[in-house]
Amino acid sequence: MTGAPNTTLERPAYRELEADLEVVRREQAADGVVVLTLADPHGAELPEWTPGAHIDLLLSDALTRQYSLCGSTSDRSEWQVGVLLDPDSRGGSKLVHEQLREGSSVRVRGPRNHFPLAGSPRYQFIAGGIGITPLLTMIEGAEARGADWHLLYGGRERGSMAFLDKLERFSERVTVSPRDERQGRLELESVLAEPRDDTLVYCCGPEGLLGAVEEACRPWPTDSLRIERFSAKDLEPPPADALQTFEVECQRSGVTVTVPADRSIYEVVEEAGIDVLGSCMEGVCGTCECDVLEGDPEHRDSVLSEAERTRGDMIMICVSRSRSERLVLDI
Amino acid sequence: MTPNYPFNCWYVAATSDEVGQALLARRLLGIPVVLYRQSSGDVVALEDRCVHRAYPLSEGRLDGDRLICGYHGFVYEADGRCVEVPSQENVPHGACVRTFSVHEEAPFVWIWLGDPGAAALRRPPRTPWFGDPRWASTGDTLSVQANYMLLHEHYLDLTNVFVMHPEAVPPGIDVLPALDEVEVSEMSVSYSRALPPARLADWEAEATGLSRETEFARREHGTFVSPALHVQSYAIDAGGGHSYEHVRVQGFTPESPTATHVFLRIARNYATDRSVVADHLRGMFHAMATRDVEVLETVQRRLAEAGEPRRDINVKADRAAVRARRVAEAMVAEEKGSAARHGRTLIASPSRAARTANAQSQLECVVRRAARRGRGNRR
Repeated sequence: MTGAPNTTLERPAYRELEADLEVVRREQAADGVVVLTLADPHGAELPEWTPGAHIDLLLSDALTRQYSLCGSTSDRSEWQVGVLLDPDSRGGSKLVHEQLREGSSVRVRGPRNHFPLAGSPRYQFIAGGIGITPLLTMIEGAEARGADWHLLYGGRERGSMAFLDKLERFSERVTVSPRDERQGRLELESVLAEPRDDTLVYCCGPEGLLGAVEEACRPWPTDSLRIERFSAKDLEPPPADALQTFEVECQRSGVTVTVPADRSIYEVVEEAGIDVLGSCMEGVCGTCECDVLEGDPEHRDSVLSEAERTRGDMIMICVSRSRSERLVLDI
Repeated sequence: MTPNYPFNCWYVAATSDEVGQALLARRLLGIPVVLYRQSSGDVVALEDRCVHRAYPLSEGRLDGDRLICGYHGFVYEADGRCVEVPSQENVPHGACVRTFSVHEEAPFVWIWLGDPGAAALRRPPRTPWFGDPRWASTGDTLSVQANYMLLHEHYLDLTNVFVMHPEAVPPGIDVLPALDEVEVSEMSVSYSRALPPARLADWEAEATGLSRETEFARREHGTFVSPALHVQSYAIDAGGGHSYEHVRVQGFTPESPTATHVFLRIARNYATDRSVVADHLRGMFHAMATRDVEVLETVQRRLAEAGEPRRDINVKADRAAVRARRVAEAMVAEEKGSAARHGRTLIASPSRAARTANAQSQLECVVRRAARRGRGNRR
């Protein structure tokens, strides 16, 4: 095997679609929330996307922010994003609010989707504040598929809650619950008290809400709850906490090896006589995928999706490494 | 093999010239469909099955815009409603066959076979080369006994041309340069590569009329637009900002998990009024497609043989194909209602749309009221 360990690609295996779009409309959707409508300045069709997708706005060299698409998937000429001015903004939402006007140009990357709407006969949507944005497109999708759905939408006060007008026609399915009109916390028990196996729960909002929903969904069937965190949306450089040296236990073969800093998992296990497949040695082709039984992989490939990385149950052993002292693989 | 294709996607059902006032029967995503053109010019797509005894409606005949079953003479309107039963006065209440949304943008008739309401949330991909006077096109329709993803993967990795179509490669090029870039979005994958200057292959010289003594650079660009459509452009740079461009547009529509309809069109931006060029290109691409089909059908037969399931070995040149497979898998998984997981195989269980479609087929209207009543119990 000639592949050098920890190969650094000269250029990434995949590049996401990027385009300079124009702000064709800017509307105040609620207190502190603007909705920007983006379109290609030459009228080109924009890439297709599905409910729950988001795009990056490349606001400056150092500032990239992710926003859920909140328009209609049927509109291939325009994208819409809703942006809340965060008083603690580190620059992103502040810059959007202050500088992106009608006619402004903004560089956009994507779309991609880490929060896809899976098919289900029934949905319970739960939104907190600006977390309504991805759920709006899901509602359109659920409605079109003829699914039974309900939305519980919490916020500070009505004036701060975007898109109430769009939700008006679904008044039987939507519960709007501003904090200043209720006693105590959002009424999660009213919609989550009884676990149902015909329902998927989709939630987007601030951390406190997500934690409470996760807690309330504990008795629900596995995989019933799908959430998107705001915090994950800030692009931070990944922590450099991959270990220099770690152990790999090959459970099926009953062999444990140590992977040093200058060699790949693939090289070390192959040398130990383990039967593994490998091909590109750059993390692009997916041939060397192994199931992870224990441990915390440090993914360096360009095959796995964000959701798969987060799940951590598979690894491309030609380039990826480990964050835990020990990695147990099903090989 | 169970379906590995999404139902919630626009597929090409036929080319515009295939659909007229005669009944066209075609199996699409496993569903028998009958297509015809109304006197208004609009195309109709119905499930090809009479509500009475499951006889194919395509075996019947048209009376104006109405379709008459060739078994007991049940009469249907273009919206699927049964309006006449010859042997009795009244029509069974609410009897109707399933209809499918259709969108025609010549030369393609697109069809939506998934969740009926979701059709409005998607648009068939645009194919701007057709109907534009700067372009002319030719092509044909093929039936391939192979899974549709084998076709996508084949055309997303053209490194096979040296082995399969050496005569089509410009002389002096012995290996395709690596892909410059694989560009992805949520639903699409595209790649591009530049070829170093080389003299013309025979087919290029004959089609373009350019000098055989001159070296030309070429640019290749391919896109997995959706599970239903592959578009590839091949442009010969003639200098001065002028290029001789060919766009191979292929609609891949699964007939079943092991068979695919291929709607092949070759568009060109030169010699648009010269039928001899059209004939030459059609012949050349048809011959290439025929050889491709032979290989893919052989692969499909080998895949169908009994034995341990095994993993594919991929190579770097597959990276666009690997990505495209994942897009399709994610769409299938989302329809099924499970979180997308990168599968080791292409196999997935029937989608909810497929199950719904079966359940809905012939009695859709009859059960509508009952379904509405029992909505809460429906799973």
